[in-house]
Amino acid sequence: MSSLTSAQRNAVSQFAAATGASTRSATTYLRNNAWNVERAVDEYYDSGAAATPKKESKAVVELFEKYKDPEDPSTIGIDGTINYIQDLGVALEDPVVLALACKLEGPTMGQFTKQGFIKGWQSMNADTIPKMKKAVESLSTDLANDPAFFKQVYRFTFGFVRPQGQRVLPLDTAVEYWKLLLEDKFPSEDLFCKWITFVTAEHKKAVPKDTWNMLLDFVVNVLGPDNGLDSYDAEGAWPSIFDEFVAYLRR
Amino acid sequence: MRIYTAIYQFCTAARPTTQVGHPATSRGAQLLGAELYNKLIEYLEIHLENIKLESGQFADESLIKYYIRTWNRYTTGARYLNHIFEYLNRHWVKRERDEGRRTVYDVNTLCLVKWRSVFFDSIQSKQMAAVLKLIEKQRNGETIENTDIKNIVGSFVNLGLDEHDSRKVSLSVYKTYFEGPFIASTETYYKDESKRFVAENSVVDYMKKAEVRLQEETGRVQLYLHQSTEKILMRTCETVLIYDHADLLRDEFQNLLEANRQEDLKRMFTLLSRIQNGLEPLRGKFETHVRKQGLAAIEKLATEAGENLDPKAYVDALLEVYRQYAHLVQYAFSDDTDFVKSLDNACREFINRNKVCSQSSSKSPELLAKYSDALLKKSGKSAEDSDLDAKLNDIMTIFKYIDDKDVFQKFYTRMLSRRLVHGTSTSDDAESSMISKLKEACGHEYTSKLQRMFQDMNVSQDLQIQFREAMAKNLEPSELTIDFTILVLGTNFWPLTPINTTFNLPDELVKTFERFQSFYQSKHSGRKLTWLWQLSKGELKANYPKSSNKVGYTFQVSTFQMAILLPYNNGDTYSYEQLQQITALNKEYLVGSLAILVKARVLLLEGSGEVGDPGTRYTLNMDFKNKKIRVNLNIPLRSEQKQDTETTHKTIEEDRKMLMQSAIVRIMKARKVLKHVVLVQETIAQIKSRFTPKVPEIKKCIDFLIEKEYLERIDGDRYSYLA
Repeated sequence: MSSLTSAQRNAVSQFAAATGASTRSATTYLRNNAWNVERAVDEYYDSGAAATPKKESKAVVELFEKYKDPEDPSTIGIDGTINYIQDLGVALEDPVVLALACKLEGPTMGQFTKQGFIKGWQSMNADTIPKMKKAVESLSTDLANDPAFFKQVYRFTFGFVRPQGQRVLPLDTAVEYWKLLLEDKFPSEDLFCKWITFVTAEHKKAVPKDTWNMLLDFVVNVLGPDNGLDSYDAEGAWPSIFDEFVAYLRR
Repeated sequence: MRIYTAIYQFCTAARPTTQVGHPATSRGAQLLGAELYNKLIEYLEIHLENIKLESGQFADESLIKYYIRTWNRYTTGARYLNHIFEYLNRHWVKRERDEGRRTVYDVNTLCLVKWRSVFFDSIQSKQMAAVLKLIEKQRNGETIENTDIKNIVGSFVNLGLDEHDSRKVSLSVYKTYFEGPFIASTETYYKDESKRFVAENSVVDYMKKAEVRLQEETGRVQLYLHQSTEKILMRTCETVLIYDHADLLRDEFQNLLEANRQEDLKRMFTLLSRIQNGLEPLRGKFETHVRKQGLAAIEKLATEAGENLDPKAYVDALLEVYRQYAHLVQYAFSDDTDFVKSLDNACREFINRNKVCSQSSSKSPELLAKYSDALLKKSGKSAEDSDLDAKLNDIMTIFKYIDDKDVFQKFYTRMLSRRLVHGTSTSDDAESSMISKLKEACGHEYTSKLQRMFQDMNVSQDLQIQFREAMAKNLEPSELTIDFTILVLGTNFWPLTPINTTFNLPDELVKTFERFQSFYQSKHSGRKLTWLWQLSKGELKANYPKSSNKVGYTFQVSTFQMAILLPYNNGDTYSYEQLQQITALNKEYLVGSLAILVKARVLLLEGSGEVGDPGTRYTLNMDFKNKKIRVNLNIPLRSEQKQDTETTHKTIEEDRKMLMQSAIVRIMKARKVLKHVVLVQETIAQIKSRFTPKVPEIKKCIDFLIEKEYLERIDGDRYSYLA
């Protein structure tokens, strides 16, 4: 977030002071509202993200304590995460893990913060493992049926799996998560393979955030509709990698 | 006068009686006036009936004559009557009209009204037919009495009476009874004539005919028609003569262009410009024609010249096509703005996208820059000043059409730097005149580097003098055995880069080198001097050759060659390896420099083998002979030249990316949030003056800027600026 101007940073701290939200979500809301603090705060409350902070549920805190990293008590570490996910009865490579991480504001792969963990579960009204299992199930359904939620999770994934300190996603990581999340969003397996071949054999570059985000839109809006490809406009706003991919498909 | 008095008395006679007791006072005077007025009408009607009767025996021209004769007499009489009945006019008529009786007129008008209703209406069609017959005769080339028609027209005009104000002239009669039939007959006449003429004659002849006819009709208006007819008459003629045959004319356009018939083209332009949208289809044809001519000229040149295309020949060929059609536009198309635009479009096409440019679109600006270099470089046959300026203006003419102005700039800068460094410029005046022309065309930014280069040259001269003075002060003359000149040039403004080789400066030069280095550091501490050895040169005096006269030869050599030759002061033969060790030059430069010396037979290659082969030996040629006393051995290496063009092209690509990125950032900084399409358009608009950016290239730059977090995508097709 070093790219914020001082005015923007100022807005972020104002927002955070007013709502008690994290810097990260403050930035998101502000950016969506052209850095207008008032409007951002309105949207924040409208969205229900700030569901009046209940008193920290004791049960959730206790659960957190159970899995926390002994060396860093404010987080759940990699081992704790693995145990916890297993206790929830979910396979580690299930996409719902990403949805969960998104809900609990996990900063990176294999880690949960205490704040995110508690706030997340509270908003989902779950404080025991059985309740949480239920919640995860419904997340799974949402992921499959709610395109907006899927988009949120998909976009979240980029930052979540990106190696620390890097701006782009290494190509093999990107491909791995595309396989996990996007493969069945493509209209055909063949097209998905072509995309993977294209990025690994032709384009061969790490994936920037814009490409990552826009790929979902591209799949839904261009590859999905029947004549989407025919009407594709290479002069439109798509990142140029898609121009090249379309040219590759037409070849 | 007597009659006037009588009328007065008649009109006033009743007054006394009425004053004596009859209550209806004013009625009496009025009745009296009315009686007189009615009598007058009666009289006029009888008179006109007679005229009508008499006119029955005349036809055609004689009818016209008769009409004019009686009309003149009648109107004169009417004027008299008007005077005589002035009293009636002034009182009775005026009062009647004031009271709203519109059918009562003053006497003069009354005469005209009666003329019209009794006589004119009954004969006008017969008479008009006669008039039209007369005009047709004239159109057929016979001589007729113009004044007759003029008189008739006058009569028609005068008969037009305004119901409300008798003094105003209304053209209603003229318009209805004269102009209408006249225009109709004109239309039929020319319709027939043009149809016949076109069938039997060429288009060019027809245009001449139409031109003459149009002129005649304008003249006819002046001769005997009312001025107001001109507009409708001309419009009718234009429709029949031009509009109806416009397609035919336009079809001939291509042929005239091919044959370069300027007179006829001018004629066609003048004719078609008279009708609406008449020229529109010609512009497209003209544009295509010029483009094809330009492309053909270049194609011919390219096939003849093959690989070695002479920049001058190329530019001359472009100019020739441009000049021919620029002249045509000026002469035949009166510099019509749309034709000028078509010419510009065509020129831009054939200058930027011809056969020569097919491999690389930047060929045109490159050749143009090379031609300007040839002009501005000192040569045996330097052009006269005025001549040179005209040629520079020619370059600007083509330059205007160049799309990739940045490519021209790159090459021009490179060649200018070479001219300045090697001192091969024709004149400072010509150089600065060219720069001011470029500045005028492209703005200050475009030429700022070029101007900086001149500034550096001047600063270097001063520096040179200061250095010499400092050395003369501090050193013995015996220590200053070497003539030394230097140019200190700003890295950012000159397209010069150090080359990739090590180099041992010859011992003889090291002292001077060190002296300048410390002198410069003392003046500007912290500045770094990079020595561009590949551009340095010097002169060596050779006293050894046996054949030399007393003066000895002077070798003009590069500093590298100097480093090779100076060791021969100590020995006659060196091996390649020895020379390599002494000079420390890499193979490319050592071999290149050696090869020239061997070729000029300054050094002799011992035994067989190529220059640069391991173990080859080089001996000083004691029998060196040359016609000239000064021998130029400083010839640029072939590989250098080629590399030059390649690096120029490479830097152009880099510069373009920078230019696009900075334009995008500038736009976004100002607009904060922008749609993709708008951003692309504005970027193109900003950069167009330098080169025409391609959309995919712009998109790559946007991708790059998003990745570097200068921009952010806020939804599908909008970006916002991140500070």
